[in-house]
Amino acid sequence: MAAQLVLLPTPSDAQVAERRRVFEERRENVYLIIPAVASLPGVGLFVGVVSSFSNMGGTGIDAAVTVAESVEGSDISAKALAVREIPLFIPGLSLEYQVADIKLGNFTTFLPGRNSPNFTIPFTGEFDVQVLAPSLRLFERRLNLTYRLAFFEGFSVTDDGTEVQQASHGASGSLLLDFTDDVIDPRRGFRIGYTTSLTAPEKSLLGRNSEPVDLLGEDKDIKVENYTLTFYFPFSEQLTLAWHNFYSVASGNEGSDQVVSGAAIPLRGYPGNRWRDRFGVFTGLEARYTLPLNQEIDFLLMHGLLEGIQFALFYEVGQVNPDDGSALYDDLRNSYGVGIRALVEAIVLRLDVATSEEGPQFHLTIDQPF
Amino acid sequence: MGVRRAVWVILLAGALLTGCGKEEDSELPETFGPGSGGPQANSAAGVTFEFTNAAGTPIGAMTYDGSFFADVTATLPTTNGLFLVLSTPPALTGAGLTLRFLRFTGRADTACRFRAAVLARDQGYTILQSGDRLNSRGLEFHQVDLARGGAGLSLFCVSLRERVGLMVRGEAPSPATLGNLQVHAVLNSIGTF
Repeated sequence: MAAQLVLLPTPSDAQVAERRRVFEERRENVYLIIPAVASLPGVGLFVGVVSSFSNMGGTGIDAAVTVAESVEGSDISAKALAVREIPLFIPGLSLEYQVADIKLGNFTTFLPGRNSPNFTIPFTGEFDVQVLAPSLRLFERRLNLTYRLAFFEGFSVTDDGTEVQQASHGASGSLLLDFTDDVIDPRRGFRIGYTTSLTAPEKSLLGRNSEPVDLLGEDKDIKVENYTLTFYFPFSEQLTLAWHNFYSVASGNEGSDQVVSGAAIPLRGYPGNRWRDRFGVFTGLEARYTLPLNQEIDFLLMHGLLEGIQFALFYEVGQVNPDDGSALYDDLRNSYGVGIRALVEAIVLRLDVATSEEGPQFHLTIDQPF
Repeated sequence: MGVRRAVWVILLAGALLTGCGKEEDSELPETFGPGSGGPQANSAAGVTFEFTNAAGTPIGAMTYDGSFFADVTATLPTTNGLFLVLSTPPALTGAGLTLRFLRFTGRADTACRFRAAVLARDQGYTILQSGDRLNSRGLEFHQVDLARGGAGLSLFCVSLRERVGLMVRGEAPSPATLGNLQVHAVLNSIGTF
């Protein structure tokens, strides 16, 4: 075994890696159901279930369902459904649909901008979201093209601090080139991604826009483009180092004295959407060690082959800035943490604990972070 | 540990750890109280002012000491939603104080916290403390205290009627002045119709 240990990544590790397994050949009816009890500041105590289903009934369709309800009088209700890989008319073409109905006591946001203070801005957490996303995936999912249409209806904050009810569409297109050895849990190879915001329709089968307002950090005249480049270096059969790079740029409204927001940088030690400005950079290193188990699990909460438990250690840095000068790379924000993942065939259940100068963050979700 | 038990441990740990958070404690007293410092409000010199919504319908009122505060609104450029600006002459004890009264729509905490965050991000203010407080008429305000270079700035936001509210922006040479008897008398006098 020691003779097979690869101590250093080599250029060959960054070439197109042969697929370890074929995504379309995943077993049917694999699922995970995770009960959750949580207490959130300003929200209260609630209980719920997060679940994921893979290749339901052999149709190739995946689904995720989240339900949460309040206890002890606090008014909380969350229901979310995502259905993915719905096959359409031609091979490689599929559809994803997501719908969520959320009602919390409070939602919070932060001001955009490099100098955004660590001071939350609350607003009424009542909104519905729908997403429709057709995708074309070719050549063993090495080429992925996606159009994403989202419709939001509910409370939000305008860029002068007024809470309003708003209904609006958002649209984006993305291209992902995947030269890794696995769609779900890559361990060698690399990926290149590009996403751009697109002009969204005023109305669609998802709904109709309300009167336009400038929502906090979301200017409709702005085009946001994101670039990603991720490498996976195998140090051994069980140890992989993932290196993820992200760059975001928002163009339009040049010369404005308002903060123009691109995408938020994905620092896991901060709340989501914490850091965003016209330009954003991020790089993250994550070491993943997989303990193979290959145990069939079949009980109430899980059905499938538990391929392994993966332990992760990560460190991330990033920054945002109104321009792309040297300041974009100064005084970088950083976060670091640990994670544990359950690899259940095509489902990765991930629990990450990350921390930054603003305190700890917990993430319980499905799929690898990158 | 068997695999099934290990899975239960992981799921339970994940479920319990998710969303663990501490309620944000307010650093401010629950009620305004009478305040402290500076001259007592002179009720004989009280001036009543009415607040209206954008359509001009009265939605609330307050009273201020006309012998302490001067109405300087007319000396300032017209600003949409600005009701009133009160100021005190520097020579007066506990003075150098300005109170601006502005209309906002939406939630009181959203309005005050957003404005405070903008002041911190763009104008170098430091946010000191924040929280909800009741005045003597039972109205709940959201208050945020800020400071810059020794000077104090406090924002007091209250919803009056149908998502229309009042923001009181107080500025003074020191944060302590914003807790004096005159300021608290004004805040405690604010009521709705």
